[in-house]
Formats: sequence, structure tokens, C-alpha cells
Amino acid sequence: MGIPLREIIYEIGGGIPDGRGFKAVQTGGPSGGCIPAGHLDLPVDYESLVKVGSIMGSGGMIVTDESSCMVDVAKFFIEFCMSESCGKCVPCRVGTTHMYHLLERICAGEAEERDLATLEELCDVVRNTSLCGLGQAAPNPILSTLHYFQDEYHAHVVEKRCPAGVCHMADQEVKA
Amino acid sequence: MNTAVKTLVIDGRDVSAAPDQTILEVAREHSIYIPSLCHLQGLHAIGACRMCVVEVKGAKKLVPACTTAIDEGMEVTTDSERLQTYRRTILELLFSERNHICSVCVSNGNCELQSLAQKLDMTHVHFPYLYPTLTVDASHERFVIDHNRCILCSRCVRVCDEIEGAHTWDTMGRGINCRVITDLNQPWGSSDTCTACGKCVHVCPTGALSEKGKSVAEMSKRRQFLPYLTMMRGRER
Repeated sequence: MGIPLREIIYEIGGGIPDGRGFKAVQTGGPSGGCIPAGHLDLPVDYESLVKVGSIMGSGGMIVTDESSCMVDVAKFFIEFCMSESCGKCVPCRVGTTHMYHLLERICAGEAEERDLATLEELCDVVRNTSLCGLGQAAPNPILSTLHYFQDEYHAHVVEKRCPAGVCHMADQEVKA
Repeated sequence: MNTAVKTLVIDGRDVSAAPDQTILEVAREHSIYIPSLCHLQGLHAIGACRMCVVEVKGAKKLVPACTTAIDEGMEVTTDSERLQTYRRTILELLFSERNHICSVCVSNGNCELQSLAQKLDMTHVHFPYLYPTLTVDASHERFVIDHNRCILCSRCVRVCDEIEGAHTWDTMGRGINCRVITDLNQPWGSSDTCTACGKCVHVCPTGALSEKGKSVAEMSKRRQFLPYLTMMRGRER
């Protein structure tokens, strides 16, 4: 408790293999937020993590390097939350499904700018009206990546390009 | 019995209530409208539809009025721009989830989902329709279940268990794949536990459960039995 993220990742964890650069660390399990390099000196405690849009959660950490696409990462985590939703309350049951479909569209280069607004709106509703902690925390990976990696979303939606080269864009295939 | 009275403020009005009452009960007693879908007086409240979320002063989160007990000095706001937006969005999510085409529905004009959408000024659905492939089970000799119209409020499950005592209905699957089932997911008509009482049909807020032989807009629900039965049960105890 209180150790900076940098120390956990680079000293205790041994850093990132093959000399690749750090991109983000996701804390607290699938419904935690993604923290960018700018916050690497953040001490790991409940309050500090909440301040940057993540949670302590399970205490687990997933470190991603430059080879990861943050939209794809968000999609991966929301897919987990969607399949873990029990289906009792409406916002979590239907909201997480729509969030996943929207991210799928973004990753496929089929999304428009207004889809980003819909995504943000869904995050707000699901976070504030869901019955239990699963739905209330499910938007965290999306909200944090939308906040810290807005340029990646922009590249997918407007330029139809995945900066990390992870997402398979439908448009590119046609052009090639 | 605890006869103490608690006082609280709902939408700026001072009200008093019994300590075991919920926000929704107290609000309705004082003619303060809070929209709800899964709630039905006489059945156990489950807080699933989230339509009745309200703001409580000092609370970090919104709370469902149907399952939240009142407290001394509580200050509740039942209507605000924020709540209206959330409620409308939740309604839109419900409409986008399955196949709610009012014009061809047996409950057109007698549907709680439809009337709530009208009441809350839901003009359009701005989420893509999911349109899952769902079946209609017409194997029962008197009733039909159309899963396309089901909003998973679980009123049928609760009335069958709590009032009729048969527990024919239940839910299966999780998340978006959740649906109501009879017995262990067997055709309704082959159910040994179903008493064909029809309570599930009449508490259903939409056209998901209906009587056979009803055409478009012909199915209206009769719920007078529920307060009567719960009152008589209360006397027995």
C-alpha cells in the first residue's frame, strides 16, 4: 500500500519485456480503469486510484505496452462484464451489451462520431443506475480509456485507422 | 408492532410514515408519482427495472424507491432533469432489447411499457435494436408466452411463487440471454406444476403473457385479485 505504480511495474514486476514502451496499467480487475504513463508515480492506495478513474478492486494489475490498442483493451474488458451480467437489472443487462456492440463497431472502423457520444451516455446511465457493483463499475475501462486515450478512439472513428495495428478495419481491406 | 412514526421530506413536502415503509409506498400514499415497471403492490419488491430510482440527499448513489426503506429526516427528490433522462434511457434500452412493435401486439393500448414511454415523453430509441431470435410458446391450452415482448420484470415468477405457490415460472440464462421459463425449461403446456390459474398473465405488464384467442389490442389485464389475496393472506397470519 502506497508504493508507486512505477516501482511495482518496473522493479517488483521486472518491467516490460523486449524493450517495448509502457502504455497503460489497468488496476483492480476487469472493471478497473486504465491508467496512462503520466500517472506512473501514483501511489497505489484506494483514494489515489479512484482519483485517476480506476479502483483498487481485487488488487490485480494488467500492464499493457505499445503493441496494445486501448479500444481493443476496453472491448475485451466490457465483453467480460457483459457476459458476467446476471440480467436482473435493465441498465447492466442491455447497457453493457450495447456498449460492447459500439466498441465492436469502433474497432471495425464502422463507427461515426456520434457513436462516441452514445457510448459516453451509456457509461453514465449504467454507472449510475445499475443495481449492483458489477454494472456500476463496468463502464470504468471505457471511461478511463476515453479520457486518457481519446486520440486512439479518434483515429478509429475519424481516420478509420488503428494506431497500434491491432484492429482489423473493414475499410482498409476494401481500399487495398 | 412498532408504532413509531418517521418523518421525511419528499419533493419538498413534509410527510410521515410507518418505519417499515419504502420510499415508493410513502410517495404513492401522498399521490407523488414515481414511475415503476417491475414493482407491483402485493409482490415482493426486487428493484430490477431501475425506473423508480430517486435522489436522496447525502447519498452518493441513486436508490430505487421500491426497495429503499424510509428514514427519519430523509430528503428525497423523485423528479429532476437527471432522473428523467436516466428513466427515459432505461426505457429506450428496454425497447431496443427485444421486439416491441406495439401496432401488432395483443396488449396495444393496455401496456405498462407503452404507457410509461408515452408518459415519460420517449419520442424515439437512439440505440440500435438488438432483435434477438426468440420463440413463442403456445403449448398451453389457455395462455401464450411471447418472449419477444418480455421485459424480464419477473412479476410472473413472483406471483406464481408468492401468491399461487406453484413456482412454475423461473428465469434461466444470464445477461442479455436471460429469459423466463416454465418448469425446467419445458413447454408450458407440458408443465405438471402449472395450475392454469392465469395470475402470471394478468400481472404481466406487457403483451408477453396473454390469453389465447385475443387479437391486437384485445388483451387487457385484470389485477383486482392481487390486493384482495394479499389482504386475506395477511389476516390469516
